Amino acid sequence: MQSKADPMPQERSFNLGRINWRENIVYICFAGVLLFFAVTIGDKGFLTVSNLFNIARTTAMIAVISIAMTFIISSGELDLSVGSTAALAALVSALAIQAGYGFLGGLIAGLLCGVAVGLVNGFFVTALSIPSFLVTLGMMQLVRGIDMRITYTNPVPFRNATFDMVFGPGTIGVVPTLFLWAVAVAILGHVVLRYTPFGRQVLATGGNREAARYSGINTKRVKIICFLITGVGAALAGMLWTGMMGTARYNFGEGAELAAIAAVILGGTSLFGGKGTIIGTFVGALLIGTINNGLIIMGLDVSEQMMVAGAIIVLAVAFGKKPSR
Amino acid sequence: MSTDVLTMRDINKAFNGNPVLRHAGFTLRKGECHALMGENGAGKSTLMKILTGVYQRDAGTVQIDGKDVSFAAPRDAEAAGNAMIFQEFSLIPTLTVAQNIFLGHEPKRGNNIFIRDAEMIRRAHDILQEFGENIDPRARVEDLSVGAKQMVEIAKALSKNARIIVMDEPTASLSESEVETLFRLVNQLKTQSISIVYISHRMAEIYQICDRITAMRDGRDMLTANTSDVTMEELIRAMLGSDSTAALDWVARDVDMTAAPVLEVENLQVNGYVDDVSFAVRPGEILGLAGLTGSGRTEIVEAIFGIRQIDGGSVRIDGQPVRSNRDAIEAGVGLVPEDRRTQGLVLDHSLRDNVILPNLARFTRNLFVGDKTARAASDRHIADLKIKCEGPDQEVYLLSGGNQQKIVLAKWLERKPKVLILDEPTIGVDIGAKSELVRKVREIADAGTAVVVISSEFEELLAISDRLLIIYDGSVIGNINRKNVQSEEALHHAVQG
Repeated sequence: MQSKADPMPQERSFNLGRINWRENIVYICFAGVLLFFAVTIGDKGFLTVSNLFNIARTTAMIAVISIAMTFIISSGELDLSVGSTAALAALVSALAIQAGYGFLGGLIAGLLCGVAVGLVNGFFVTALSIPSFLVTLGMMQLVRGIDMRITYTNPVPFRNATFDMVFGPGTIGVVPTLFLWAVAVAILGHVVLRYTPFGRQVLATGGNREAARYSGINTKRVKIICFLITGVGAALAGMLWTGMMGTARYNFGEGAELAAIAAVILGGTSLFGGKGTIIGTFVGALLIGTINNGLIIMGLDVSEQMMVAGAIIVLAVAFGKKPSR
Repeated sequence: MSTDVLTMRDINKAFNGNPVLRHAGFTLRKGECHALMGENGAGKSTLMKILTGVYQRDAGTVQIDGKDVSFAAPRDAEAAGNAMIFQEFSLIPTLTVAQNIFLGHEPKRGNNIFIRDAEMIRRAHDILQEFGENIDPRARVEDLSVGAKQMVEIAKALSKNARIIVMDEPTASLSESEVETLFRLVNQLKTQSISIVYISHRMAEIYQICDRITAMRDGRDMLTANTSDVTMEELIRAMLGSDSTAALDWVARDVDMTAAPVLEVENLQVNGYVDDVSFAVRPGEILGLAGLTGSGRTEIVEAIFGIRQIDGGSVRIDGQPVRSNRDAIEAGVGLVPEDRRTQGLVLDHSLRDNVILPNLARFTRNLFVGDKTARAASDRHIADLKIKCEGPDQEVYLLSGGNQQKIVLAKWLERKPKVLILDEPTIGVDIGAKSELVRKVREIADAGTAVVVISSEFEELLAISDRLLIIYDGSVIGNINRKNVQSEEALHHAVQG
């Protein structure tokens, strides 16, 4: 009945309408939330350029982690260790700079932390076939313990002009440096996931691991690389946090894993793998950041902020849910 | 004198304005086994889903025991005595047999809170005993064989006093002895006045077990007759329309048997599955592997494809040893795997993304996947294999089994394989697509590709093969030229060892 010669335009446009609504829920939500805050608290400073850049700056870290998280979730796995890893990279890079290894030494040391955690996660998940939820849940605790031990929970302040310039709270032109990092990572992530063979392999592995394997794809290798991506992404986010705060702390990134997962799912990526969108994730992260910022300006206290933000996430995911087949 | 237990009349159903059923009718007598046939997309499943309350009809009447009924949900249909045995079993693997059978209607204690476990196990035992099955009600379903799972599924239907049971491709993954058990059970159910709707593409089975046949085409019932009154040709014509040809006839082909073999398997060993298997296939030759389910057929081809670890022996393509899946694919081996839904396709992805999956390197220019060239290649395969779809961007779960299988084939044709292996290529594929696949495989072989085919349907295996290897218990026990095989029965006999 469905032939190429008879493309059934009526049905196609119907489908298109439906797909647009659910796949673009994050953009609709983002627009709605911006509009809501603009109307209600526009005169309380929400709409000022400095506040909007403030949102962009404080969201950058979660955005970077979320973009990396999109890869691992698209491959059908999960990484809960990102928050702890961010703090580890922050501390190690700060300590390296403090010890006189310079910006480059600190940068490399920080990124290597991400590589190390990613490799450990990847090894246990692929070689020993342990569910990633369990492996990374353990790693989340283990690495956070390391974070606390290395400086006995003391912050690591340091001065390094290059570090401040690259990761600091300043701007390039008028745009916050931190936000430019997030944008750069988003563009890179989007291109890799959408246009490269590796991106296709990630989506195929998450969509159906067996079929990917029977198509000659080394699915274990794909997953290990995805864990490396989340590890390195988290490490970068850790250094961005250091840059924003001017000091490294053991508690950076607490709860970041959950915020990132929320951003990824809000953005339209399937929690079960196989479908992923970096742009959606990026807007998802901005959405969460905007909600938090707006609620603060509205004068809600932390408990109220958490309740509202949680409710919005649940509702957005519910509306964006794919209709069951 | 048999009475109609079910009458469906003038049923219409459309999805998104696209009619799937047009005045479809179906009647079922008490205690009969009634085959429902038709190509994928003919409307069989939709009709049965209306009967079982999964879908609601747009128009028409459904009568059970002469009374008009309308089911808003599957549990309403269940209460009226309808049960469907799905192709993919609806059992929960981690629960026990008894827990599955009584799921949702467990016998309770007087307070209606606690489940009476012993009672449940006893009743499950009784039902299973009734049809002579020695399945432990306390066993976990995941530990059972496919055949036993199906028995549990039927027991579940009986525990709800089902009087109409719909079986959708029930024998698709059963072994020969399990099929016999199933047929015995079907006959027993008939004596208990239970009516069975039997959906299958397998002609031989239908003639063996069914009393009547209804054939559907384009959302209509085209023919209903006693099995004894209708020939296979009449049936095929009813299902396919007048322009159809029965393509499952053997065509003798010329193969240059003096050419150097492209695939050589020597003393292949896969512990527990394959024992000292050797054979060679020449360019253009179609080799059939005949054997029962579990005989090691699949393991042999998976070893050739490099996806299953071998414990001894060698596989060579053009004289070069193959040691890994990567070697095999690069040497030009393609595998259309046994289970297209779990091994062959990423169902949520588009046709195009599936076609390029084993070929990513070919479609990559300067680091990036070329979507345009991928779409062009997909369009070529759609035309070449006559894949019915809206285009390269359509997600493959929306397509019928036959069209899905053509996409799996396209994945490997894109590489112009030297050796193409097809493992059960026509499971769940309707007769029209089946004959197209057979024709296409011949065409591929004519172009010089060596083809290895596994099929449990010997009619099809005999239609397509130039030569047959008989596999029994992991070993090759026969190597026969096709023209020396007298009949399907002879082959059935041979594979028993």
